[in-house]
Amino acid sequence: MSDVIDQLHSYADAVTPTVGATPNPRLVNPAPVQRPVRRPLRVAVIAAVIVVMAGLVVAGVDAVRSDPTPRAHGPTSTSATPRGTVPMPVDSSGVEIMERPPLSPRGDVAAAWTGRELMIWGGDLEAFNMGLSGPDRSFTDGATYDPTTRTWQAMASGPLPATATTPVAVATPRGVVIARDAKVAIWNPETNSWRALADAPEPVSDLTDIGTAVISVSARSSLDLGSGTWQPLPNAPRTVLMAPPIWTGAELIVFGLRSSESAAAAYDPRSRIWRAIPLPQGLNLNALSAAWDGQRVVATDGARAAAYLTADNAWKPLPPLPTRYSENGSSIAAVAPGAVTAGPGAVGILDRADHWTPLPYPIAVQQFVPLRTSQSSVAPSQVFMIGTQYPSGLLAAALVDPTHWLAAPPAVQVGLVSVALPTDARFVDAAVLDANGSRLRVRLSTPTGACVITSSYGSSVTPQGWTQVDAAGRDWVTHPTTSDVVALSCEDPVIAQSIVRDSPVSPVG
Amino acid sequence: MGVGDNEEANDAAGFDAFVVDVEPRLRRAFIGCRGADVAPDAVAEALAYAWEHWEHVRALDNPSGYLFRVGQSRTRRRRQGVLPAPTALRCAEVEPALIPALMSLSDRQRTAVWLVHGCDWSYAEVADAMHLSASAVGTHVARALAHLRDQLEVDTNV
Repeated sequence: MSDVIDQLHSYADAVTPTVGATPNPRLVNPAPVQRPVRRPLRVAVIAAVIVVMAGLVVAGVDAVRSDPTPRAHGPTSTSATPRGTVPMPVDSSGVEIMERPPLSPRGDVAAAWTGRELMIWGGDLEAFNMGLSGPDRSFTDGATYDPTTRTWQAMASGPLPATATTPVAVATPRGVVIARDAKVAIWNPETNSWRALADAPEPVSDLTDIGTAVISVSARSSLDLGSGTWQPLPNAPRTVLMAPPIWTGAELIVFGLRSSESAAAAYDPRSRIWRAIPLPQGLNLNALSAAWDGQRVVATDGARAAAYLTADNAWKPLPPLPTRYSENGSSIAAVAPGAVTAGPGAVGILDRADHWTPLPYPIAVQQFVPLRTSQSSVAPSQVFMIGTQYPSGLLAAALVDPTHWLAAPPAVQVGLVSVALPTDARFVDAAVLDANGSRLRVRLSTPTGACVITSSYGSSVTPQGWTQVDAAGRDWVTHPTTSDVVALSCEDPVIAQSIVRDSPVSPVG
Repeated sequence: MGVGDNEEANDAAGFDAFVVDVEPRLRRAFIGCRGADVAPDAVAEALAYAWEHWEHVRALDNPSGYLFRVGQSRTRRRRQGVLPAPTALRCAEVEPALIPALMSLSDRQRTAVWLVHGCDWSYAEVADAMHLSASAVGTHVARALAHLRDQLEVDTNV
């Protein structure tokens, strides 16, 4: 067998011609002008700033507190509320935009719910991609948020390194286990102190607490928290994970890449047996995320969704998401009624009837942290959303209660916009405004004479003529409104007219 | 044709020549680092940036490295792409296990070893593209090769 260096070169020679040459952009766009390029993430989070500001008003939360200095972490901070009890500070809007974390701009943080606090640690700064100046950076600081006091506190310095690798975390009864590369430590929320654990045998990109141990499929090992040592996982395949594993209470469901082939498997830690399971058909496995809702695995690629029942060993298609496809990958978390998922700036919730409801409080979400307080299979009812505000690049977080959303007045998801209707709003009529039928006027009857148009990028005030392109490549233009007349444009008249046909809001009378 | 027209024509010709030179180089680099399915987007992002900022890019000492960084940044939040199996490429001299071994490397190790040994970039070019020192690149490459050899059970004493 030839050496690795020769093999790398041979493989590069063989694979490069299989990817077609990229067209010269000058021939596609001849004008040599400085023009903004398509940057979905940045656009999404710019809009999120507006949403965050609007959300602060809605939620009645102080926009900026005068003293953001973190306080010392008290030893009683995790004992006041027993595990299993989730505080409910969220008001009737169903969302509380939290005070800004006392951490510098960053993404890719490790996050976990300790049972009382949200913990955010590490992360990195991709300056160029975030539209910020300066070099990329990696962080080793963190903070915790107590929703009962609405305050952040700084975490003590820990032993983990500042590498560009995304850290992962999992809350356990003994503390929060955090790993970056193969370095692992446990942070005690009661004493705000760290303890270094033995290095993992391989880099860690996933951690799952199964009650008796913490398993890392990427490291092909399980961590004994008592001794702080790692044990090999029996017969664990070498797998590049395509999504974080999911613990069902009995099995660990793993989606991965093995020898360049996608594969899914379930691992039973009691019998130590792996079994192959089918892959969800029709989903882009490159953008997969999945969650256990207490009864089944709900998976999505950001556009389509499917559910896996372990008893049937089969996938069932679910309706497509009401959010726009995210090329940056999808996020999903289990919540009490089903699951909550996000595209760029838009959020949808799946109920037990397998119906997606678009949510009227979109936020650019990078991570969900469910408020899971025990190993119970009952899904939590609340979830933290963690994202980034742009152009500042500041870390942002929100505490949301999706059950409020399901009980809230209906929202009409129209192409790329979500129209959040006030209570007692009624759909009146819609009229075609131009000759080709591509522009509509939707008239609503509202008590206040006003409603909110929310683009899927998260803006509650849509600029005049802001054109957005949906997943099918259609241009949509949304227009500002201060009345109950909503003007929407779509270049495709058939799609535009389906706005009316598919509206879930009943016509008046 | 006026002076301005001549300058634009020169700009266009210069950029076209630049694309012919740099596109295959970037494509090969991105395939190994971002996967065969994500690589075209990364190259497109990098070249689009180059055209939009041509005055700046044309003056760079190492435009390939700079544009690699642009494409890497603009596609980094996407999931890691995939690499086709050597058997699918009829590449018998490459062990099938090379691909999972390559994918199990950290991003930095994979990038460094691919650019140096898969793409023949110099340590200085890789260091520039990755914002690292050349010695750090050497460390990443050495560790990556050791890991790959371990995974492929290559006996380096032979």
